[in-house]
Amino acid sequence: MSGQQESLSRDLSLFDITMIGVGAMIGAGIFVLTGEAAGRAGPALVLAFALNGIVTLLTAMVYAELGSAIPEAGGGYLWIKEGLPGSNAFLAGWMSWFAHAVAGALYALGFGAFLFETLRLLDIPLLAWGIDLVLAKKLFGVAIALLFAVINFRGASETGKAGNIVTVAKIVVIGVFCLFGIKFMFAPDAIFRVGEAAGGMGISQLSPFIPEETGWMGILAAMGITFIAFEGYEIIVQAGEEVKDPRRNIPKAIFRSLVIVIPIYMVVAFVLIGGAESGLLLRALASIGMEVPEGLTAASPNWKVLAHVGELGLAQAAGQFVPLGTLLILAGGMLSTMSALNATTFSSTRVAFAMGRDRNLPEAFARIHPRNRTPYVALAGTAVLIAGMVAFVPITTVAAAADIMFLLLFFQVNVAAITIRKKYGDKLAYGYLMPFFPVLPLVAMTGMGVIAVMMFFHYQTAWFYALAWIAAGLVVYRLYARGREREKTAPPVVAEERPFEVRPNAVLIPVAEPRAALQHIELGARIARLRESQLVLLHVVPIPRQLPPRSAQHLVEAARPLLDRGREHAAGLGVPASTLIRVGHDVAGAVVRTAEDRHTDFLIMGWKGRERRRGFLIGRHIDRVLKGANTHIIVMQRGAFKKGERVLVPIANPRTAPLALAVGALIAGEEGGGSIQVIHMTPQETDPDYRTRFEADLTGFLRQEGWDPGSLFGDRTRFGLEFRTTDNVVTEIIRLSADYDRLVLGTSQGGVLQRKIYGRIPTRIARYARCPVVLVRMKESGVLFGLQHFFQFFRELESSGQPESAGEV
Amino acid sequence: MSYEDLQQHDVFLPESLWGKTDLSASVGRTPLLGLALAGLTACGLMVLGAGGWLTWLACGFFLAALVFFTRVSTAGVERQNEELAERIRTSG
Repeated sequence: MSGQQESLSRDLSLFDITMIGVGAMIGAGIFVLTGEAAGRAGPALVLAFALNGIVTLLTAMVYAELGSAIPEAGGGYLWIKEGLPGSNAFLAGWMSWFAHAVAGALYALGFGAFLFETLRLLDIPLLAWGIDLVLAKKLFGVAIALLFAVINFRGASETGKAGNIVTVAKIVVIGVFCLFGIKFMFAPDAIFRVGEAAGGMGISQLSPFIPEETGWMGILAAMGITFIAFEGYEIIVQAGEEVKDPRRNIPKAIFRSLVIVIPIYMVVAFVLIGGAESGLLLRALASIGMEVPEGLTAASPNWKVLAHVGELGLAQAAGQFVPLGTLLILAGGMLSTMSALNATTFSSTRVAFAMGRDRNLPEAFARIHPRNRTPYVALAGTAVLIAGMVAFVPITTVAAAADIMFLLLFFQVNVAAITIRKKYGDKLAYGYLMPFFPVLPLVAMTGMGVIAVMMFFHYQTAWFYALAWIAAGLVVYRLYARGREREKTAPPVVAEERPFEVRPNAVLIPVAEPRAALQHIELGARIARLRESQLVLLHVVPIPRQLPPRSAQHLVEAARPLLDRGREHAAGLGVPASTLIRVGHDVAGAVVRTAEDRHTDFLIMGWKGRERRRGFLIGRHIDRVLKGANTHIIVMQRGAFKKGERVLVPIANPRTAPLALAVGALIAGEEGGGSIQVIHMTPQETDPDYRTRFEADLTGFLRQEGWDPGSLFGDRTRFGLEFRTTDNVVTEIIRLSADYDRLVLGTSQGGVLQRKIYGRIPTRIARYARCPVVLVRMKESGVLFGLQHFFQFFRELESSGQPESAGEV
Repeated sequence: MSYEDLQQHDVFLPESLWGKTDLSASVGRTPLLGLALAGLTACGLMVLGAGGWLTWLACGFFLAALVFFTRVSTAGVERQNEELAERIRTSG
């Protein structure tokens, strides 16, 4: 991030921000989805909304805490970026882009349906022209999506007071629907009886509350399909940077918007199912050119008919008890869907733009149009996504896909809330702290998990769309974004010199202390010669966080002679070497990034041999490099190479032995005439077959890893293999080390075993062994390493509770 | 977003307050838990009512619990902000 910060002015009051949330939540969901949801849950739709309210409140409390502590534009995406490792931030942005775009597609389809019905009521013969409801939704939907893309391109957007007026108008329309509906149900009179509707049915239509046909699964499906309607708090925090007194107003706005919206949804469901008459709904279904499903009659429960009337259900019900009710709801619906489409086009574009700026998507996505000052490439990408979904995917699937995306996004935010609290502790200025931490986010995740799983049974196609989008995202991340992300986060290279010919599979040697560096270069040169590769000599200039990298120029100049000397030494050994200097706050991070950037195969580091600080296994920087860099790593304790060196290599498993064996052989052969003694220790006596197989495996795995035993051992290095029986490996190694000049200890196992090997044996040997120790760790498979890295993130949080980035270098 | 970015956005407390702040919620835990249980009970009663008057009474009970839940939460926001302002003021 540049030194200069651009931020938006804080103009939005508590009322404004509450209205933004309310507007988003009673936007289109209530007009478009209640019919479909009624068909799923029956009268228990009221309960589905209440339960959704509870699940939503849990995540809303998490949003209230994070929104009050980090009130910046970006909301959930930003927190996930801050609180979760690796690809999570990318995926959050990727899913958020899709979720908002899909929500936009839902609103566009809803608008298409409302416009079709409005035109039909105005006697425009669409059906005669061959335009039925399904076709009209797609035609008008694509048209309105493109229209709002153009409006957004021109830079106009619904803001401030105008947005508040639209929201209040929507509440008034819904209020009229509910008041007339309740009066119609309980005390109909001339005013509240429109056309042939009788009214006065009281609550009779709301029983049975949970119909046998739908059951609890139906309630869960209705919760899933309408979950999107409650995601308004995401929009509230998206505008966090523009809110006055955000620590106070953001959490308040989240709670107030929910206390307005949840009752509205419940009352609308009550009136819709309690008031609408099946016979009239069926007639409306026929009039819009839809087939009346077999078995449905005027005596059928109205929620069954509403399932088929779909997004026009609310409008058709209003026509039964509100004068001009259908047109009123259609007008409200069009207003809502248009404002919601505008908002989602805007927010979706903003996410794509931010991802382009973060180099997670091609930088073209961050391009701003010179005249209109709008991100036109991100907007075009979003418009294509919305229009494509409108044209080719059914409305219910669109809604369900958006729901699944928001569920997954909120799930990540809940995890991020836990990690951010652990990471920053009481350093953040919280305007609201959620109670029952961390139980509350865990319960929220469980609730959302249940809904997401249930959605799989009811909306499988939507799940496949969601999974396909996530899989596509992972491919984009792997092939494009990951490398760019690393480039961005790596400490800057301030000086670099490369040999004429750059060879692959290089050996990376961080250079700090001259004498150790020369020894590492000697070993590295031997590896590079065998592998026909080269050395990469890295010097990291550590600077305090308060200083920008450019302030370290004098330190960079001071480091040059050290690297020049290293390069000359490598040239003397017949190996080319490139040199680079990085300036950064994080030494270990710079080493890891260089290993990744330069695709090095080996990394050689020095080790003083003692655990210096509590909580670190080997050393602060080495621990982090071991965890972060997936390359063959050699950690050398000080001790100059000498002629005829005797090297001891204890081996537990031939599969993980090649690197230790190769390093041992290279050290023994460094000055010529040395010997390498391999010892395999077992608690019980081994038979001759086992020994023969072990020896064959050693050679086999050595070749498999690209080491030629002939070139490795040469004629002058003596090789011995011994099988020993012992109950205490550690004590035995320490005892034997007295007879050798160096001990090479290898493992490629991660997790607990690695901890044991690196945590127990080296520290004890460093203390008691009579010879220098070399630790080697083999490169892991990409997937295994990725998993370890992911879980390591949480282990570190658990153990330290402090941000690494906040520590001093 | 890095630590420095967050620092520039002024989201951290003064360093003198680090390690001294209680992270327990200032919102009343007992009333909140009581209201949450009331809301869940109301949902249970909605089911037991089977669409009869009990269902709709429970519905009203749920909405009342929701309103009080919001009041307790927003009061917690006020209290938290007052405490925060007081801590910053006394830290100088």
